[in-house]
Amino acid sequence: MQLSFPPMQVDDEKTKQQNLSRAIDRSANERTFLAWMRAAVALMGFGVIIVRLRVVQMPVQYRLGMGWKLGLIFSLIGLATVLISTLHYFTVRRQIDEDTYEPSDWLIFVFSSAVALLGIGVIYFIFAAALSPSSFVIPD
Amino acid sequence: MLLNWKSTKVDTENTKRPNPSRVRDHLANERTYLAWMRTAISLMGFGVVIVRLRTFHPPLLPTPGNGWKLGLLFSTVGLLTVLLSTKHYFGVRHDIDYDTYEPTDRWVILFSLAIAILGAGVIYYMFTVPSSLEGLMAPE
Repeated sequence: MQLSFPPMQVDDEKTKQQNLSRAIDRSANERTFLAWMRAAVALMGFGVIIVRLRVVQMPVQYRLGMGWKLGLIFSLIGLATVLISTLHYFTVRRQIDEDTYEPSDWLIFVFSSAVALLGIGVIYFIFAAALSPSSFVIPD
Repeated sequence: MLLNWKSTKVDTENTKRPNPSRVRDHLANERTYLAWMRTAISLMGFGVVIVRLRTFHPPLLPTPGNGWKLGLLFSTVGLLTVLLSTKHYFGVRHDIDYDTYEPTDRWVILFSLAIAILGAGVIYYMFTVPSSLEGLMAPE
């Protein structure tokens, strides 16, 4: 009893500590997932706003502009972010349980590349909108 | 028993979890990255929105306003934020793994300056808009 008790207690303390640490890690993972979701919602929301603002000019201008495509790309990247980050959440959850967590680099790299391409598209769109003469003189 | 327990303790502490908050730190780093990315997405989205709102300008006004320049500035700052925050993420990731993380004021100050310049641009834009609103009403 005396011999087996101290290690038992320490072991118990240790597992308790580990469970606590695991719970904190799990909730950190969930917060990260929610941050991904917010990024996706921002992307999709801006996609909708860009497309909706195009609708305002619809009656006077039937030309299919870039804005519609840009809004679609925003929304598609947002949707892809939802799916990929959900998969990522479950992957990290499993890794935390198995104590084999490694921070992801490909996911960050892909997301940054996607948003950077989006930014280049936005800048191109702004130049196209500013420099095309038809966007200033709307035919009636 | 005691020896056995000691060896497992060393094993878990040295190989499995060198830093008990490592997972949390990496996940927090990922969330910070995502917060930067959300800011970048907002900047680019507002860039597009500003340019699209330009279509409310008088249709017969032949000269481009300042709106597209402001939109371009927003988008460029957004694009730079994407690139710098990705670089920052990988830097902090490295620092967490090697336990050499130091908080940097540099990016915060730089970003504040950029947003302050954008704010000044927005205020300037607001003061130039009323004249074009009058122009919108004049032809009717």
